[in-house]
Amino acid sequence: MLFDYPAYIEVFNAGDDARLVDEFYHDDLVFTGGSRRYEGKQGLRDFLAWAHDGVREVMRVQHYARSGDILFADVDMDFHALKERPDFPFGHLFPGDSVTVKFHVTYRLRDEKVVALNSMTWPPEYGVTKAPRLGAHPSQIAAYHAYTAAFSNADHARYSAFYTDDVTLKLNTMPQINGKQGIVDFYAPMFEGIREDLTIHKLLADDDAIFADTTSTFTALRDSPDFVVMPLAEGDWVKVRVFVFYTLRDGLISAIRVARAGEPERC
Amino acid sequence: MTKEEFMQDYIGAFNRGDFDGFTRFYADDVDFDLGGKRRIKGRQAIREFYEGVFARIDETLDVTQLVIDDEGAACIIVTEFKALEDWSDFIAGPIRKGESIFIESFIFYRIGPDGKFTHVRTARSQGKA
Repeated sequence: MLFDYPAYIEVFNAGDDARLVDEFYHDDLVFTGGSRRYEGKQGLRDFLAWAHDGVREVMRVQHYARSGDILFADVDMDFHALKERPDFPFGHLFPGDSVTVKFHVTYRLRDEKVVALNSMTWPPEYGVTKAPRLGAHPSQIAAYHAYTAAFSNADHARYSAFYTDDVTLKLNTMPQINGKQGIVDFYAPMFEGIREDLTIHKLLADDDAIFADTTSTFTALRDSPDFVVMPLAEGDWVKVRVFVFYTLRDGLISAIRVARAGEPERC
Repeated sequence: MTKEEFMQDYIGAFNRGDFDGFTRFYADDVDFDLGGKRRIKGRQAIREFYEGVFARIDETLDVTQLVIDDEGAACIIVTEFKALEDWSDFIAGPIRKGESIFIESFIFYRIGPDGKFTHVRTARSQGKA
């Protein structure tokens, strides 16, 4: 069967590194990057485990062509941080950060598997296209997870960078909150005593909206008798299942609507 | 399933009272969770539930937001319940003949491999009489 590059891209962008290596790479593979060289499937697996630790890497292929056993691709590669990576090759990343890097990649094929992978990169953000931040593409969905990571990290500057200036937030127990700064002003004092962690059960996204079936877990960092969900003592936590609808405008969140999909569970 | 199919063939059939039309979107063993207030298992049971409701209530759905992919659909729906007769223990609240209750809900449908809804879960956002 011929090497199926669109299928390769789909598996790569799904973040399924084990399947990627197993299905598309030759046992004798050699991967050579700027200052790296890895041999064999296990070598590539080890590299990918390190590179993708807390970082989602998603390809946006601009052009590709195959001649004989050589396939060449011009790729705008997006990296979305879910955790802090001080050692990341394209810069120190914090949860919620995204960076795009131009990759020129040559795949040499043997038996329709990749036996040699050579990649060269340009400096971060140089000569790349940029997709709208949020939407239906796997990279935009990965960016949403980076947003939730920034939110869970109470990083107000980073999560609010996903909002339009005139964003609105409607929680079903509160009056509507208006504006990017209004949302930060709501969460900043709350996050001094409470940390909210988002677990996404199911995400649906297109270029106009995102729906997330989510569990919000609120943990009290200190006694919080006035907490809006329920009074919590230091160390207590409460879980709430919520459905969240985000309206998008030009790839940014312009409205957030939240409905409770279950009763709060104190733990 | 496209947005057009969801809107015209599912929501449209519901609003027309076309039971065959909207229930064909459900898997045989669909799990329908009405906001934790009631849970209905199976396509036939859902049909019987709505046949009971529609005999006493005109129920009309107005979808204000919809997102959909191969595995699911989610929407914000404003439902108008208009009573054809008094109903003191109606699931959405007591209602008198001729009155309407409007309830906004978020609804999440999981779509199985055959394109049918396997799970439906609703969450009430807000309501006003």
